[in-house]
Amino acid sequence: MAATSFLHTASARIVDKVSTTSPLQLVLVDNDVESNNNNGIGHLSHSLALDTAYSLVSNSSTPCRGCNNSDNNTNNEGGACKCCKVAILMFGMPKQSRKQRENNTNYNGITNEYSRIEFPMLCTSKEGNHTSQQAASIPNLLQHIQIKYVTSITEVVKYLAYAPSLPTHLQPLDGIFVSGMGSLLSSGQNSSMEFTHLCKLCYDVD
Amino acid sequence: MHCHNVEPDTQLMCLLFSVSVLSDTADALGDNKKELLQSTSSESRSDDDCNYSNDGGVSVLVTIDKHTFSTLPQRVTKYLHQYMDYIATIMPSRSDSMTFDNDHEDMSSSSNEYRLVIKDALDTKGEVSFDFKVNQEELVWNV
Repeated sequence: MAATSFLHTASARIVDKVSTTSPLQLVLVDNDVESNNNNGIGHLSHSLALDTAYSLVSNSSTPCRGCNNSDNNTNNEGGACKCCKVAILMFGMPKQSRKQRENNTNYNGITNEYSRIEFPMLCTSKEGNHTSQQAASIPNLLQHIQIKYVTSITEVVKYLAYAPSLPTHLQPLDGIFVSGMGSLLSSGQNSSMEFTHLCKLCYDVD
Repeated sequence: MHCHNVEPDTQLMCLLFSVSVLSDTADALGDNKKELLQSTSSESRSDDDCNYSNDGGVSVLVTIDKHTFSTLPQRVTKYLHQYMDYIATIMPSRSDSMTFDNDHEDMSSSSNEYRLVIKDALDTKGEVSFDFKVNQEELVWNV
Protein backbone atom coordinates (compact mmCIF):
# COMPACT_ATOMS: atom_id res chain seq x y z
CA MET A 1 0.00 0.00 0.00
CA ALA A 2 1.28 3.45 -0.87
CA ALA A 3 1.66 6.20 1.68
CA THR A 4 1.76 9.94 1.39
CA SER A 5 4.30 12.32 2.82
CA PHE A 6 3.79 15.03 5.40
CA LEU A 7 4.26 17.81 2.81
CA HIS A 8 1.85 16.21 0.34
CA THR A 9 -0.78 15.74 3.00
CA ALA A 10 -0.37 19.24 4.40
CA SER A 11 -0.51 20.91 0.97
CA ALA A 12 -3.60 18.91 0.05
CA ARG A 13 -5.37 20.16 3.18
CA ILE A 14 -4.97 23.82 2.29
CA VAL A 15 -7.15 23.45 -0.78
CA ASP A 16 -9.31 20.62 0.57
CA LYS A 17 -8.14 18.30 -2.12
CA VAL A 18 -8.95 14.66 -1.67
CA SER A 19 -5.98 13.45 -3.67
CA THR A 20 -2.52 13.72 -2.21
CA THR A 21 -0.81 12.39 -5.29
CA SER A 22 -0.89 15.43 -7.54
CA PRO A 23 2.47 17.09 -8.23
CA LEU A 24 3.81 19.29 -5.51
CA GLN A 25 5.41 22.70 -6.17
CA LEU A 26 6.66 23.91 -2.85
CA VAL A 27 9.28 26.10 -1.20
CA LEU A 28 10.24 24.75 2.21
CA VAL A 29 11.71 27.36 4.54
CA ASP A 30 13.78 25.77 7.24
CA ASN A 31 14.00 26.57 10.90
CA ASP A 32 16.84 28.54 12.46
CA VAL A 33 20.47 27.87 11.77
CA GLU A 34 21.03 25.86 14.95
CA SER A 35 19.20 22.89 13.49
CA ASN A 36 21.24 23.01 10.29
CA ASN A 37 23.98 20.69 9.23
CA ASN A 38 27.38 22.10 8.46
CA ASN A 39 26.40 22.56 4.87
CA GLY A 40 23.50 24.83 5.67
CA ILE A 41 20.84 22.22 4.97
CA GLY A 42 18.45 21.90 7.88
CA HIS A 43 18.01 18.45 9.33
CA LEU A 44 14.24 18.89 9.48
CA SER A 45 13.83 20.10 5.91
CA HIS A 46 16.28 17.46 4.72
CA SER A 47 14.22 14.75 6.40
CA LEU A 48 10.92 16.10 5.07
CA ALA A 49 12.35 16.37 1.56
CA LEU A 50 13.53 12.76 1.66
CA ASP A 51 10.16 11.71 3.05
CA THR A 52 8.51 13.39 0.07
CA ALA A 53 10.93 11.72 -2.33
CA TYR A 54 10.18 8.30 -0.82
CA SER A 55 6.48 8.99 -1.21
CA LEU A 56 6.84 10.02 -4.85
CA VAL A 57 8.85 6.93 -5.67
CA SER A 58 6.55 4.53 -3.83
CA ASN A 59 3.47 6.07 -5.48
CA SER A 60 5.00 6.31 -8.91
CA SER A 61 3.49 4.45 -11.80
CA THR A 62 6.24 5.41 -14.21
CA PRO A 63 7.35 2.21 -15.89
CA CYS A 64 10.90 1.06 -16.35
CA ARG A 65 12.56 2.99 -19.16
CA GLY A 66 15.15 0.49 -20.19
CA CYS A 67 17.83 0.76 -17.56
CA ASN A 68 20.38 -2.03 -17.73
CA ASN A 69 19.27 -3.50 -14.45
CA SER A 70 15.68 -4.19 -15.40
CA ASP A 71 14.17 -7.42 -16.60
CA ASN A 72 11.33 -5.63 -18.32
CA ASN A 73 9.92 -5.32 -14.87
CA THR A 74 7.71 -2.33 -14.25
CA ASN A 75 7.09 -3.10 -10.63
CA ASN A 76 8.85 -0.72 -8.24
CA GLU A 77 8.94 -3.08 -5.35
CA GLY A 78 9.80 -6.37 -6.90
CA GLY A 79 12.07 -5.63 -9.82
CA ALA A 80 15.67 -4.60 -10.13
CA CYS A 81 14.83 -1.48 -12.10
CA LYS A 82 17.05 1.48 -11.25
CA CYS A 83 15.48 4.16 -13.42
CA CYS A 84 15.73 7.62 -11.89
CA LYS A 85 12.42 8.95 -10.59
CA VAL A 86 13.49 11.74 -8.27
CA ALA A 87 16.64 13.86 -8.47
CA ILE A 88 17.85 15.78 -5.44
CA LEU A 89 20.36 18.53 -6.10
CA MET A 90 22.07 19.00 -2.78
CA PHE A 91 24.53 21.66 -1.75
CA GLY A 92 27.86 20.17 -0.75
CA MET A 93 30.35 17.61 -1.88
CA PRO A 94 30.27 13.81 -1.76
CA LYS A 95 32.39 12.16 0.88
CA GLN A 96 36.05 12.04 0.00
CA SER A 97 38.70 9.58 0.90
CA ARG A 98 41.50 10.68 3.20
CA LYS A 99 43.87 10.95 0.26
CA GLN A 100 41.39 13.05 -1.69
CA ARG A 101 40.93 15.32 1.31
CA GLU A 102 44.66 15.84 1.63
CA ASN A 103 44.99 16.66 -2.04
CA ASN A 104 41.90 18.77 -2.23
CA THR A 105 41.16 20.39 1.09
CA ASN A 106 39.69 23.53 -0.33
CA TYR A 107 37.84 22.83 -3.53
CA ASN A 108 36.30 26.03 -4.79
CA GLY A 109 36.00 27.23 -1.23
CA ILE A 110 33.82 24.30 -0.21
CA THR A 111 35.72 22.17 2.25
CA ASN A 112 34.90 18.56 2.94
CA GLU A 113 33.16 19.43 6.20
CA TYR A 114 30.18 20.53 4.13
CA SER A 115 29.49 16.96 3.09
CA ARG A 116 28.59 15.92 6.61
CA ILE A 117 24.86 15.68 6.18
CA GLU A 118 23.04 14.01 9.00
CA PHE A 119 21.10 10.90 8.13
CA PRO A 120 17.47 11.83 7.50
CA MET A 121 14.98 11.04 10.22
CA LEU A 122 12.18 8.56 9.72
CA CYS A 123 8.97 10.51 9.13
CA THR A 124 5.84 8.87 10.45
CA SER A 125 2.28 9.95 10.90
CA LYS A 126 0.66 9.81 14.31
CA GLU A 127 -2.13 7.93 12.58
CA GLY A 128 0.12 5.21 11.31
CA ASN A 129 1.34 6.42 7.96
CA HIS A 130 4.92 5.17 7.68
CA THR A 131 6.27 6.53 4.44
CA SER A 132 9.94 6.57 5.35
CA GLN A 133 9.84 3.28 7.17
CA GLN A 134 8.13 1.70 4.24
CA ALA A 135 10.74 3.08 1.88
CA ALA A 136 13.59 2.00 4.12
CA SER A 137 12.20 -1.49 4.24
CA ILE A 138 12.10 -1.64 0.46
CA PRO A 139 15.66 -0.84 -0.61
CA ASN A 140 14.73 -0.93 -4.26
CA LEU A 141 12.79 2.28 -3.81
CA LEU A 142 15.94 4.12 -2.81
CA GLN A 143 17.61 3.14 -6.05
CA HIS A 144 15.24 5.46 -7.87
CA ILE A 145 16.46 8.55 -6.02
CA GLN A 146 19.52 10.22 -7.51
CA ILE A 147 21.43 12.61 -5.26
CA LYS A 148 23.65 15.02 -7.11
CA TYR A 149 25.97 17.27 -5.13
CA VAL A 150 26.29 20.81 -6.39
CA THR A 151 28.35 23.74 -5.18
CA SER A 152 26.87 26.63 -7.15
CA ILE A 153 23.69 27.84 -8.78
CA THR A 154 25.45 27.52 -12.12
CA GLU A 155 25.75 23.76 -11.63
CA VAL A 156 22.06 23.58 -10.72
CA VAL A 157 21.01 25.48 -13.84
CA LYS A 158 23.30 23.39 -16.04
CA TYR A 159 21.75 20.16 -14.72
CA LEU A 160 18.22 21.55 -15.15
CA ALA A 161 19.00 22.63 -18.70
CA TYR A 162 20.06 19.16 -19.82
CA ALA A 163 17.78 17.03 -17.62
CA PRO A 164 14.97 16.69 -20.20
CA SER A 165 17.45 15.48 -22.80
CA LEU A 166 19.18 12.91 -20.62
CA PRO A 167 18.75 9.24 -21.57
CA THR A 168 15.18 8.38 -20.59
CA HIS A 169 16.12 6.10 -17.70
CA LEU A 170 18.12 8.95 -16.12
CA GLN A 171 15.37 11.57 -16.35
CA PRO A 172 13.74 12.34 -12.99
CA LEU A 173 10.14 11.97 -14.17
CA ASP A 174 8.51 12.23 -10.74
CA GLY A 175 10.35 15.01 -8.99
CA ILE A 176 13.28 17.42 -8.86
CA PHE A 177 14.37 18.84 -5.51
CA VAL A 178 16.93 21.54 -4.76
CA SER A 179 18.17 21.24 -1.21
CA GLY A 180 20.03 24.11 0.43
CA MET A 181 19.13 26.93 -1.95
CA GLY A 182 20.20 29.55 0.60
CA SER A 183 23.70 28.11 0.76
CA LEU A 184 23.89 27.92 -3.02
CA LEU A 185 22.90 31.57 -3.32
CA SER A 186 25.52 32.68 -0.85
CA SER A 187 28.28 30.26 -1.78
CA GLY A 188 30.34 33.00 -3.36
CA GLN A 189 30.78 30.98 -6.54
CA ASN A 190 28.05 32.67 -8.48
CA SER A 191 30.10 34.87 -10.67
CA SER A 192 27.88 37.56 -12.13
CA MET A 193 29.51 37.36 -15.53
CA GLU A 194 29.36 33.60 -15.78
CA PHE A 195 25.79 33.58 -14.57
CA THR A 196 24.69 36.29 -17.00
CA HIS A 197 26.29 34.32 -19.81
CA LEU A 198 24.46 31.18 -18.70
CA CYS A 199 21.15 33.06 -18.58
CA LYS A 200 21.73 34.29 -22.10
CA LEU A 201 22.49 30.78 -23.36
CA CYS A 202 19.30 29.41 -21.79
CA TYR A 203 17.15 32.14 -23.25
CA ASP A 204 18.78 31.70 -26.68
CA VAL A 205 17.81 28.02 -26.60
CA ASP A 206 14.17 29.04 -26.03
CA MET B 1 29.93 28.36 6.92
CA HIS B 2 28.44 30.72 4.37
CA CYS B 3 30.11 33.37 2.32
CA HIS B 4 27.88 36.39 2.38
CA ASN B 5 29.93 38.36 -0.09
CA VAL B 6 27.61 37.85 -3.03
CA GLU B 7 25.83 40.99 -4.19
CA PRO B 8 22.17 41.04 -3.15
CA ASP B 9 21.04 41.77 -6.69
CA THR B 10 22.94 38.76 -7.97
CA GLN B 11 21.35 36.60 -5.28
CA LEU B 12 17.87 37.71 -6.30
CA MET B 13 18.57 37.17 -9.96
CA CYS B 14 20.03 33.75 -9.21
CA LEU B 15 17.03 32.71 -7.15
CA LEU B 16 14.36 33.83 -9.59
CA PHE B 17 16.21 32.52 -12.60
CA SER B 18 16.97 29.12 -11.07
CA VAL B 19 13.40 28.69 -9.84
CA SER B 20 12.03 29.62 -13.26
CA VAL B 21 14.39 27.16 -14.96
CA LEU B 22 13.40 24.54 -12.40
CA SER B 23 9.75 25.12 -13.28
CA ASP B 24 10.45 24.96 -17.03
CA THR B 25 12.44 21.76 -16.57
CA ALA B 26 9.61 20.20 -14.59
CA ASP B 27 7.20 21.10 -17.40
CA ALA B 28 9.48 19.59 -20.02
CA LEU B 29 9.97 16.41 -17.98
CA GLY B 30 6.21 16.30 -17.42
CA ASP B 31 5.68 16.27 -21.18
CA ASN B 32 8.21 13.45 -21.53
CA LYS B 33 6.42 11.56 -18.78
CA LYS B 34 3.03 11.95 -20.45
CA GLU B 35 4.41 10.67 -23.73
CA LEU B 36 5.96 7.70 -21.99
CA LEU B 37 2.79 6.84 -20.11
CA GLN B 38 0.64 7.22 -23.19
CA SER B 39 2.89 4.93 -25.17
CA THR B 40 2.78 2.23 -22.53
CA SER B 41 -0.73 2.69 -21.15
CA SER B 42 -2.58 0.34 -23.42
CA GLU B 43 -0.61 -2.81 -22.75
CA SER B 44 1.37 -2.74 -19.55
CA ARG B 45 -0.35 -0.65 -16.89
CA SER B 46 -2.73 -2.34 -14.58
CA ASP B 47 -5.64 -0.82 -12.67
CA ASP B 48 -3.61 -0.94 -9.49
CA ASP B 49 -0.99 1.33 -11.01
CA CYS B 50 -3.60 3.93 -11.77
CA ASN B 51 -4.74 4.14 -8.17
CA TYR B 52 -1.55 5.79 -7.05
CA SER B 53 -0.45 7.41 -10.24
CA ASN B 54 1.22 10.76 -10.29
CA ASP B 55 0.63 11.28 -13.96
CA GLY B 56 -0.08 14.97 -13.84
CA GLY B 57 3.48 16.16 -13.80
CA VAL B 58 6.73 16.40 -11.96
CA SER B 59 6.95 17.55 -8.34
CA VAL B 60 9.29 20.38 -7.46
CA LEU B 61 10.67 21.15 -4.02
CA VAL B 62 13.15 23.82 -2.97
CA THR B 63 14.49 24.04 0.57
CA ILE B 64 15.96 27.32 1.78
CA ASP B 65 17.11 28.51 5.17
CA LYS B 66 15.06 31.01 7.10
CA HIS B 67 17.77 33.65 7.19
CA THR B 68 18.17 33.83 3.42
CA PHE B 69 14.45 33.67 2.78
CA SER B 70 13.69 36.45 5.25
CA THR B 71 16.22 38.75 3.60
CA LEU B 72 14.48 38.47 0.23
CA PRO B 73 12.39 41.54 -0.59
CA GLN B 74 8.65 41.07 -0.43
CA ARG B 75 8.32 41.80 -4.13
CA VAL B 76 10.54 38.84 -4.94
CA THR B 77 8.68 36.34 -2.81
CA LYS B 78 5.50 37.44 -4.54
CA TYR B 79 7.03 36.51 -7.88
CA LEU B 80 7.45 32.96 -6.63
CA HIS B 81 3.78 32.19 -7.15
CA GLN B 82 4.47 32.06 -10.88
CA TYR B 83 6.54 28.95 -10.32
CA MET B 84 5.51 27.51 -6.97
CA ASP B 85 2.13 26.68 -5.49
CA TYR B 86 3.00 26.64 -1.80
CA ILE B 87 5.40 28.08 0.73
CA ALA B 88 5.86 26.02 3.89
CA THR B 89 7.79 27.25 6.90
CA ILE B 90 9.17 25.16 9.76
CA MET B 91 9.17 26.93 13.11
CA PRO B 92 9.31 26.00 16.78
CA SER B 93 5.89 25.30 18.19
CA ARG B 94 4.84 28.46 20.05
CA SER B 95 2.10 27.03 22.21
CA ASP B 96 4.14 24.55 24.20
CA SER B 97 6.78 27.11 25.13
CA MET B 98 4.11 28.91 27.15
CA THR B 99 2.71 25.86 28.90
CA PHE B 100 4.52 25.71 32.14
CA ASP B 101 1.87 23.77 33.95
CA ASN B 102 2.09 21.64 37.07
CA ASP B 103 3.86 18.91 35.22
CA HIS B 104 7.22 20.24 34.26
CA GLU B 105 7.82 17.28 32.02
CA ASP B 106 6.91 19.09 28.83
CA MET B 107 9.50 21.78 29.29
CA SER B 108 12.34 19.53 28.34
CA SER B 109 10.59 18.23 25.27
CA SER B 110 9.25 21.56 24.06
CA SER B 111 12.34 22.21 21.98
CA ASN B 112 11.51 19.07 20.01
CA GLU B 113 8.09 20.30 18.99
CA TYR B 114 7.70 22.16 15.74
CA ARG B 115 5.04 23.53 13.48
CA LEU B 116 4.78 23.43 9.71
CA VAL B 117 2.95 26.53 8.49
CA ILE B 118 1.86 26.20 4.89
CA LYS B 119 0.18 28.71 2.63
CA ASP B 120 -0.42 29.10 -1.07
CA ALA B 121 2.19 31.26 -2.75
CA LEU B 122 -0.40 33.87 -3.73
CA ASP B 123 -1.46 34.04 -0.10
CA THR B 124 -5.15 34.08 -0.97
CA LYS B 125 -6.36 31.07 0.98
CA GLY B 126 -4.86 31.85 4.34
CA GLU B 127 -2.44 29.52 6.05
CA VAL B 128 -2.76 26.16 7.71
CA SER B 129 -0.43 24.83 10.37
CA PHE B 130 0.41 21.32 11.47
CA ASP B 131 2.38 20.24 14.52
CA PHE B 132 5.08 17.65 14.55
CA LYS B 133 7.53 16.26 17.07
CA VAL B 134 11.05 15.02 16.83
CA ASN B 135 11.69 11.98 18.98
CA GLN B 136 15.34 11.05 18.72
CA GLU B 137 15.64 9.74 15.17
CA GLU B 138 11.98 9.96 14.29
CA LEU B 139 9.82 12.80 13.08
CA VAL B 140 6.16 12.26 13.97
CA TRP B 141 3.62 14.44 12.20
CA ASN B 142 -0.01 14.99 12.98
CA VAL B 143 -2.37 16.03 10.18
